[in-house]
Amino acid sequence: MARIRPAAPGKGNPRPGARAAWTAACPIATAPAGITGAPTGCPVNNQIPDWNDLVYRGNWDEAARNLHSTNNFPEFTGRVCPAPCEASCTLNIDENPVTIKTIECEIADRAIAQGLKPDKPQRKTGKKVAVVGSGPAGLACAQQLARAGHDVHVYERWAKAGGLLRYGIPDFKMEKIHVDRRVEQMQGEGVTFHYNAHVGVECAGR
Amino acid sequence: MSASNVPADKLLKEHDAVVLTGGSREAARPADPRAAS
Repeated sequence: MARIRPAAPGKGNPRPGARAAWTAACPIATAPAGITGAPTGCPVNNQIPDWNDLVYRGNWDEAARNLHSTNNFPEFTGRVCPAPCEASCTLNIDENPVTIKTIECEIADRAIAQGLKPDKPQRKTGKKVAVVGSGPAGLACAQQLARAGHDVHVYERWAKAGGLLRYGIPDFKMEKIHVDRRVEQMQGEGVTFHYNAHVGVECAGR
Repeated sequence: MSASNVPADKLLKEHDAVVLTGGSREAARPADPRAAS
């Protein structure tokens, strides 16, 4: 008998709508205008109180738009980020913090379930840019440059894209399908990937 | 499959800009003189 695969990471919550209920605990998200804009502890400045509030109101599409505006790959950070935001959460002073990382992951997964469409630029600049390395930094850089209209070429030393995302993070933390899906989207946006290309290694004897 | 070598000067010649990330960025960083002492 074949093994039954365990549920994918982050899919363990059996109660529909429970995540929206968690966000209701966020004191910043439910605060009057003027309080938002406080430091969230997020290194990429995700607008956490804003999308917490959007999720609370059931507006998942706008939450995804907001999240993607500050974070190229929320499905990665929603799984492997150490979540300094939760340490910074006001509720963490004397209660459990809002489960921001889980909410981020859910926003990203719902957006992906609707299909990741390539975000093609309005115009091309005619500039050709090489990005050496296809780890998280290289992928994010390449995606931003492609969306700005540049012709982007990513050079990767190994056989597949992702760097530490693929070769350093085990499947039980983040499955490789997430990296593959983003690479596919980026190819649709015009990014060219060159695999098995080791840049800067000169010929022997030189 | 082994990686094929891409000379850095060829890359610079063929592109308007080259962005180094991750390990390649670290490798290209000049050595810290304090490390020798």
